[in-house]
Amino acid sequence: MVQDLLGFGQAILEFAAPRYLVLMATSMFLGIVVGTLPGLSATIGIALLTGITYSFNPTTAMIMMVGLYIGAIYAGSLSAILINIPGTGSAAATLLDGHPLARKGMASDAILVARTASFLGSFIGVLAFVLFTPLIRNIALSFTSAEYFWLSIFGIMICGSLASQDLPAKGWIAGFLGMMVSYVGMDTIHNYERFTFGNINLITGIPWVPMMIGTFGVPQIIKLVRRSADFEVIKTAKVQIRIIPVIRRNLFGILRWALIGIGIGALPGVGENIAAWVAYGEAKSRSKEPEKWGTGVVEGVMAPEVANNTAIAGALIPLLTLGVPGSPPTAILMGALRLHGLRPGPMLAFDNPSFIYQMGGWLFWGTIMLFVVGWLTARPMSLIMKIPPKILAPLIATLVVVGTFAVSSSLFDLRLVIFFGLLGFILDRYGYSLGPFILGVILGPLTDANFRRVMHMNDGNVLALISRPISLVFSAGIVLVVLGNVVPYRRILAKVLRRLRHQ
Amino acid sequence: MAEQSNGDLHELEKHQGELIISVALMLGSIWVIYESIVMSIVVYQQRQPDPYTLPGLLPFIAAILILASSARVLVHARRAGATFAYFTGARVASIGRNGDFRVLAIVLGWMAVYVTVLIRVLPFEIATVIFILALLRFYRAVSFWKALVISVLFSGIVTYFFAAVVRTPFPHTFF
Repeated sequence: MVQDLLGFGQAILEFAAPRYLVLMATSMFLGIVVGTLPGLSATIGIALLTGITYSFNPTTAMIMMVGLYIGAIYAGSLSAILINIPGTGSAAATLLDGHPLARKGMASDAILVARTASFLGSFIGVLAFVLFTPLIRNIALSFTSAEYFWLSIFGIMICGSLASQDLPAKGWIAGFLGMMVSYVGMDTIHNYERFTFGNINLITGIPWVPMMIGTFGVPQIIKLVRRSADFEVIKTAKVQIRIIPVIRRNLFGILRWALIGIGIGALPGVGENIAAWVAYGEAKSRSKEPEKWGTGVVEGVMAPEVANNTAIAGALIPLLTLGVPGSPPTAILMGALRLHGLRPGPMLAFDNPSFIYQMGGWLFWGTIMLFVVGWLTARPMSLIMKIPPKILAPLIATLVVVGTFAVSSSLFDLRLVIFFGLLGFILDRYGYSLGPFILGVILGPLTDANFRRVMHMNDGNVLALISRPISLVFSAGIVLVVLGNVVPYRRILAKVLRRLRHQ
Repeated sequence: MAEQSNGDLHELEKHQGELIISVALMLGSIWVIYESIVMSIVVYQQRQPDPYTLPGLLPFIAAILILASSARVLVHARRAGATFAYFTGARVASIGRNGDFRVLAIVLGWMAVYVTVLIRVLPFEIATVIFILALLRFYRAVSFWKALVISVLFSGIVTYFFAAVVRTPFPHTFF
């Protein structure tokens, strides 16, 4: 533990060098621009940055991605507050009280609260990352193939259930489709070509970058073209509230919302959006005046912003320790890490022992920069919001094409962007979440290799899959997730209770 | 079909879409199940490996899961009022007039032209200017001259960065 803390301390000192801080500030600014612009998100920002930073050294690329990630998640609140449109999905809950506050002439106050909450959330997230990552890394080292198989399936199921807008089965379908996509290419055991249709480009599988850029990028371009630019940007005025008493009043609340952020962020593929909504719901349910929520309550801005920024670190913990991303942006980040020759997961501690400490250092400086750059850019961002979305759409389309080409220089990959763009658009339009889809693509190879390994080693004994306690917990979790969504247990329970009352 | 964006998609239209997607997914799953069995038989006949390591095993399981989940969505869509009778010739034709689908077709179609023709035959800078300018003008985002300035500036920055700094090997470029 002491060794880990020293490692983190050393990384923080190492990245205090001016060149790293300037890099972090620049990427933070980029993230704030991406987050502020409605229609762009941290996920598409990181996806585009993956192509742009492909030829950079891994440290530079990762600093830029972490900075953009933190900046975008915070900045989603700016457009939510000022124009009533969340810049990112994670700021949708912030909008409910943030915009009414702005309408009351307290736009600057709402932004200050959002910025402070994001800073506190990120800071608590860094502490959680420093404390829990080495711990979970050690637990992950004891995982066997059976545990990895169940963890992958559990991740897809839980992510599908939580990320789905209406029907959990749609989220599961998206996840299983992702798994199917990952099975394309040469089978690793028998060298048999699966679903390649004789195409030589598909033998090594579907490349991640064009698939991710297409899936997330194209639906965003369509939304940008279709989005009306007819909105009013509320002007900011002088700050009226004092932030320290607000923090003091909500100290326990901040800790609760941060715990929600870490917990939900750590669930595979779920991420910041759900964390923000759960924290908002929790804060409202505990409020003495719940009827005032939605009319401009400071806690209504604070709760989702603490949670969604804490979820960043929460989502990074399973990514680096188990190789399972906790949110869609970290799923893209995982692709970027692999491009740079890093293997997120338990083996990362052996392949690159200092990487987790470095990530802690980047998160720490990202948190500091969030406050500084966020403060400096709060006013100019209201000008950025005025850029008509239709102008941005062709520019993003160009970056989608060029970013993909920069990674592989392959025209086949560009065709994949178009194919996955079409698929992503259809999935997104009809409520099949893209988060579980990407998670399925990432976890698919884990399910394939580990399932077959367990069965082979145990002569087809299915019970070997649930012979260890952690496997049993994950498999029981899957059963509960399925039953909870398929069996109308509430209706059955109500019926039983009604009968009991009659008797 | 009314011109709606994703957020305010008509409920019935959404359920109709779910119905069609479910049927497509179910048919696709059946095909994957068939292919998984065929590939497993082929490998087994060639090498007689442990049957639990056959390459079609996991695709088979995933296809079964997609089939079952799609059936669940199909039942949900049917209960919500979706019906195959909804898809008359006129309604299918109206999909082409739907705003989102039209934008999708134009953007993806134009991207395909950019990727397969423009980049191959023209210097990258000029191909990119044409690509951006055409899209900006098509959606009447800005006036022609503003669109030209935006596309020339953006194309210049992007090409310089990717060709000169990152050294991306574009088929043709001035840098």
